[in-house]
Amino acid sequence: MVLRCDGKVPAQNFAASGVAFTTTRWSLVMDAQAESPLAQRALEELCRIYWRPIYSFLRREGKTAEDAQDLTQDFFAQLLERGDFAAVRQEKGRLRSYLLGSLKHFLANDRRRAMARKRGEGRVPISFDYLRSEECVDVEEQALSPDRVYDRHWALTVLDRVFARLLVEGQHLGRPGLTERLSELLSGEPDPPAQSQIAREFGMTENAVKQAFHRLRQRYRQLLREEVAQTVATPADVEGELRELMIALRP
Amino acid sequence: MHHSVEMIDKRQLTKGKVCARCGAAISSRLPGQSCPACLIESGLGPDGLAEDLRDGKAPLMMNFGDYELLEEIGRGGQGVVFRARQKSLNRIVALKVIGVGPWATEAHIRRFRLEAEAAASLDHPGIVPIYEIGERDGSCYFSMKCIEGGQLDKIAGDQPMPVRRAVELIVKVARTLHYAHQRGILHRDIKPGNILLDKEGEPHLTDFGLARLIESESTITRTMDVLGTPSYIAPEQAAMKPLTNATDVYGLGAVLYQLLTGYPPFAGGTTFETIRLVLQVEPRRPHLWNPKIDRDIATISLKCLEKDPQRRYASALELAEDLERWSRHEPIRARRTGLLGRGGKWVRRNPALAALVPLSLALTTVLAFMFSRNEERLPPAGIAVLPFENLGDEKENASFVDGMQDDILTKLAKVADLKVISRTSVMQYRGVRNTREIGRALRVSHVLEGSVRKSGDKVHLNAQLIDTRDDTHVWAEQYDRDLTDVFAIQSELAQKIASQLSKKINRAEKAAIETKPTHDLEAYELYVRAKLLTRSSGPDNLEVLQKLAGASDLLQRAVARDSNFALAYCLLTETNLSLYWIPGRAEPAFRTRADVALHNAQRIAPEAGETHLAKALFDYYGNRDLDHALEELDTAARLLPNNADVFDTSARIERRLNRWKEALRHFAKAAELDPRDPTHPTAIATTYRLLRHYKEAEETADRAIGMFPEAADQFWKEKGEVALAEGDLEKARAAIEKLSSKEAFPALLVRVLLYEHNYLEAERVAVASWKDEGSVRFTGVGAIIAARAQADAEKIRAYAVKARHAYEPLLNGPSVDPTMFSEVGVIDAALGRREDAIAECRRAVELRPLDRDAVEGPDYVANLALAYAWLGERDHAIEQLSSIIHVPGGPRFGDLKLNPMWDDLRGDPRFEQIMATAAEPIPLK
Repeated sequence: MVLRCDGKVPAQNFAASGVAFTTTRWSLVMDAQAESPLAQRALEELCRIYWRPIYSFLRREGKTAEDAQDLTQDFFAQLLERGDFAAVRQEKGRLRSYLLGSLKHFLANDRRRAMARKRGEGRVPISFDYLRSEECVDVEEQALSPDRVYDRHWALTVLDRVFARLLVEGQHLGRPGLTERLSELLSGEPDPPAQSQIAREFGMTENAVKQAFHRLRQRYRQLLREEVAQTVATPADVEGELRELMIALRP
Repeated sequence: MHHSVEMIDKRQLTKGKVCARCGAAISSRLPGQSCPACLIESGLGPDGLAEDLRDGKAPLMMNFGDYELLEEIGRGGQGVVFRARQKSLNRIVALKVIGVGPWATEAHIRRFRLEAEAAASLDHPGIVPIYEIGERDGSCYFSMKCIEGGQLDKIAGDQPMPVRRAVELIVKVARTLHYAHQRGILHRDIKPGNILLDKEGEPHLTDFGLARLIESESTITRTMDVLGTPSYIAPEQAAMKPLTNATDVYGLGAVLYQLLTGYPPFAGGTTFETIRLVLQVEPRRPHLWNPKIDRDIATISLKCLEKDPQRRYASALELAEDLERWSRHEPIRARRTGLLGRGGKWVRRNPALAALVPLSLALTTVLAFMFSRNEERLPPAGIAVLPFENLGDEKENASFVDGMQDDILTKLAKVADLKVISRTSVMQYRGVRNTREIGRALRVSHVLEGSVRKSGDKVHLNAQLIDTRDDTHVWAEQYDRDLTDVFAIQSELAQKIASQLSKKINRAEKAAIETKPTHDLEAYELYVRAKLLTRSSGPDNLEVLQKLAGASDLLQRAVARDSNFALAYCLLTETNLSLYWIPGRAEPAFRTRADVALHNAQRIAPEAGETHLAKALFDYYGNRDLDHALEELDTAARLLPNNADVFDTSARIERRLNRWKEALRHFAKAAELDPRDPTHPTAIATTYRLLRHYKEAEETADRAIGMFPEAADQFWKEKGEVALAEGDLEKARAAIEKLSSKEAFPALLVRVLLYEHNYLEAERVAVASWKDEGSVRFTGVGAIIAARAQADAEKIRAYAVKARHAYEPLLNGPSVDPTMFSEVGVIDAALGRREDAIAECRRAVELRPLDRDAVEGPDYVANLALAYAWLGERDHAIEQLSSIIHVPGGPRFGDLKLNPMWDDLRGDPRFEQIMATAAEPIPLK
């Protein structure tokens, strides 16, 4: 029975009830029986975040920059209009695979013409501002299939957001630049020579650096999972998605 | 200076090129010299690669330092064993990686090394030699000789082994053990998994001393965490008492028992059950499992398994010698244990030993209800109606089939003379065949199984009544009727079952059973589906909200089809009240709808138990009329004697009215009827915590963790709360680390950080958790406290303003919940707005004084005290605190001592006195 909660007063014990869980956006969308405004907004937000893999896929397919931008907008507009969520459940609730499948379907069905009319009323204003600086497609990417390019940019988006959050949080630490320096060590083993460098640079003891790094790494892992959790159906899927991303990224 | 120049050069060189780790291309957008794949890989696993290995995820690099991992050869409670190649020496070894866990301190690890080194000093053909001991990435590991053969438990399997062979093996291991004992080293973890057999079939003992790693302050659950199956541990180990040679003898006896019979001496359905068996029950006589076992060998193995260590063989050598005597057909020394026959309770017989079991008096009262102390072999009389099987082809009949089970269950539940388990607790046993297990887990003597085929307008039901104690069929019946008769079938069936169990049904009960809930089958199905939605939970409020809204929908449709469907109206009342109470909502529309639904129910069936329950819920959750609610619940309890909700709600109300003993009793009764619902143990643990009976609170939480591993988080949270109340930061930390998701309990984490005086981190965590107004309300005050502790006026102001802003929607809304006034008052105090702060805090206290709410009332007074303290008015603050110090739910010792929010009062002798009193438990009258 839902009514059972041991409500307590926050100032003394600020967790007002046992139910305290952040809603992941994608699970919201997935569960929507009807089109609730909340689900719509959630999906819009997700589109705004994950447009880049879609765009990169289209570029790798050979579209020009302008065409790719238009297609991306159209695709998302159409998605939001008539999202077919039965298909999502088949994808086991992974937004990444769902979007790619949806995109391919969209391209095959050539809805562009229909969408051309609606373009003016674009509901998802995606800002392509950052594109120019990034437009240099890596040489390596030419050797990859479009699907792989898509996954790679998906992963980059995830990591980008995670690092952005880490940096923002790091500003509270009172040592400007420390988070950035420590972030560089994040993959691979904790590296004692590099850490003692940092200790010298910032006037800290090596132990303090070690601890800070450890905390950063914990936080990084947490944020990484949180970020991925936004795009899968249940917390249990997070690990699987991370692994798939990693495998997809390895040559 | 010289070095930093080098650094810069190196960085420029590698920027934008390849990954330092794997050589793949890297992205300039990300920091450092790594490619996305390596970054993600390093993000996997909380402790790095070692943890990945332990968790059985395929390691992507088969390297672990000096070792190249070849394959996994074993897995246990502590860790994983690999066959590996030691690169530096180019030899094959066995490498065991052990999960150390967050509660192992430096001291523990040091002790482990000492123990492992001592074990490594043993040189005996029967002991697996240890080569290297080390630590990596937060995990301990050691390498040892690789015994090509395997673990004894894998080899023996579930079948009894030929007796001679078993004895031969045990004799050898016993002598090996004796060698170690003579050198002062205990094994502590003897079990089939720790006995390896080589190619010649010779036994080798491994993993000496590892159990040391988890000694001392651990609770039972933590031990089980590491040791894995508790089936082989000795009673004194379970009770955390000192261990002796006899402990290892017990272990060996358990292994012998298993080899002889194919079963471990004790195996309950859950960890907790098993431990209880180990402590309280005699093992089943071996020859009942395997008739080939003769009396003498049975006697020997049972002697090893004596609860009292002094009654066992004094040494492993004695055991070996007695076994050898048996082999030679000579008379054995062990005396037959005829004294402890069936029904003999070890605990009762040996009161001194009973003290080994750390149960306090109050707890046993509760446990008496939760776990009947009757003869363990015979679960108390009672029945569980298991989910029925749907034999038809169409999946859409699933609701119909569930509906039949639901109705029969509800009807049977009306019989006061019979204990009937709630539906929530039985649903998880869909498709489960092992009725003995079910009987033990739910503590019932019987289950009802059924299968249904619905085709066209006919229904075929096959029902069987099974005795769980010996898995025998007591009675079976088939029904082949028209669909329209279905309620009649169910009514007949319920009455037949009651009579089969020799239970009396009085006239009123009979009438209630024979009342049809509705004439419309489709309406009934809608009702059943709605019921399922209201009984499930969700990970977050949003999901719960959606489910409830869905249920409400279905119920509306049901009553549209049948306007006399009283049950549906009752459920609609409850559903709307739930919607009304979802945190942060309190939309009056829901309350009104609940009222309307209730009136309809009262119009149709004013005397029904469900109607009284619905009225009680409305009285309490709709009107806060505690006294009338209890009256209605009293009536409801007579008419619905097996309804867990009745008792649960009574308990909650009684708590508010300061009737704590009754509350505990009723929670226990709810738990008895609904053993698989974790909300009951949660409530019990919280209640004990409010009463400052911390030991009982912890024990309840520990048991619950064993019983509900998937819902463990709420209990770890509870344990964290207890630790904070006691002022034990280490324990609180440990509990937090156990949460599967710290983000789900940001408030708790913030408090721990505050207590640890890690103000910046507390602040950071609080801020990071702010995603919407609700979450700001959760931890806003925490951020303010952190800011005050840093004496940062700007931050205080910023956070206070933000927090206060988050309350605007509530203040402008329809709700008159005193909680929000109380909290806003505290925030205003932080902003220095004296008049407002005091007024708001006082308002909360007036709306909900102590005698009208013993659960939340004290918090409002405490908040008033806090506001005074922050405004610099010490005397008033002390006055308020003093008024609640002897009251359950008052401020906790740990809180007063460690929470920086009370810093303004520190040093005042009156405050110190209050703190001392806060440590004392509140007596249960």
